[in-house]
This record gives sequence, structure tokens and C-alpha cells, in this order.
Amino acid sequence: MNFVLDASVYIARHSPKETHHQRAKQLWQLAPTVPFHVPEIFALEVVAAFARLGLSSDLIDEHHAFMMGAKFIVHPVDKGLVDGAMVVARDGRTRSADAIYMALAMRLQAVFLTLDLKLRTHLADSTNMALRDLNIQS
Amino acid sequence: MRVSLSEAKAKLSEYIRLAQEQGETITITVDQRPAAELRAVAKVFRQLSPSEMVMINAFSDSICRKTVQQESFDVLEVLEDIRR
Repeated sequence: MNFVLDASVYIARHSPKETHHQRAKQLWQLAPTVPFHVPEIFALEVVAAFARLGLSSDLIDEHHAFMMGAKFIVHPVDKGLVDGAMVVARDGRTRSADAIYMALAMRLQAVFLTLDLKLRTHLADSTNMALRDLNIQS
Repeated sequence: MRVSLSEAKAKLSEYIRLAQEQGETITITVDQRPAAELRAVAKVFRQLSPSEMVMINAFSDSICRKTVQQESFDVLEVLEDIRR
């Protein structure tokens, strides 16, 4: 089984003072033996969030190195993924970044791990139609 | 993409190639109604080796212990700002 990891889970998993820390640890542990799939924007979002939260540059660099390692498969945000995200955004009325994660999950037939319950609902509601359109456009 | 059963029979190799190479899902119809779908099997990516898993978990726990913010926060609010 493939898993797409939302930046929210990574940040909360590695932040003991985050509200959803325990839940993020549970989600993280769903995939102990396989890498997580992430879009290129994932590391940027994590770095931006940690910078806003006041982490030191050295620690952010450690996180960045970890996100480039064996636990993650980074997917380029190429035309196919953007085309898919457009369909998701159109049908699910999601934000653009969310649509990219969701399009990647659909492309890989992966489980999307996120702490954002609204996003999960959007995905469940729009997946069938979006999947069909995605296949036509990809 | 939708095709009839007779089309599917005649061009099965072509449709399998489309599914594998372009991620296409082919809906096969019987009496003009969807009856089955043909799509590529989800690509299987590599497994982590036991030694990789140990290293990853250790590093993840280690980096977590160091990532202690001053105050509690909600990651969804932080991402809401970033993704706005």
C-alpha cells in the first residue's frame, strides 16, 4: 500500500507541543516499512512552518535533510500532477496546495494521511468524479 | 474512457498499454452500461530495509526531541496561513 503524507502530519509528529501530536504519531506509524510519497512542495511547507514557529536554522536544516532521505519519495509537481490538481480544485473547491496532495494520492492510488478532517471529507466526496477526469487528462 | 465489450476484446493490448503508460482507466460497457473497469495495478515502490527503518525511527525520534516550541500550537492554523 502507498501512503501520501501531508505536511501537517510531519510537523505535528515532530512537535511535542502541537495539539495533534499523538494523532500524528499514530498516522506516522501506519507506514513503518515503506517510504511516504510527498509532492515537491511538502518540504517547502514544513520548512516554512518551522521557520514561522521559531526553530533554529540548524534544526530546520536537519529536518530538511531527513525529508530528502530514504523515508520519503519526492514527486515533481509536473504538468500531469497540476492537471490532476486542477480537477480536484475545481470539483472539491480545495486550496491549490491541498489539491496537489490529493491529486498525488489519486495518481498513486494511495492512502492520504492528513490531520485536516475537512480535507479528508473533500477527498471522499470528490474522489470518484475527480478520478475519472484525472484519467482522461493524465 | 468508455469502450464497448467488443471494442475491448479487439483492442485489449492497446488499452492495457494506455492504462500502464498513461494511467488511463477504461470503462467497459455491456449494453451501453458500465460493467467493468480496466486500470493499471498500483505501482509498488520499494520497502525499507530493517536497518533503514531503525535509522529512520531513531532519527525521527531524535529530531522530535529537539523540536520543542515555546508554546503549544495547532499545525492546521499554521498551514492555513502558509497555504492561504
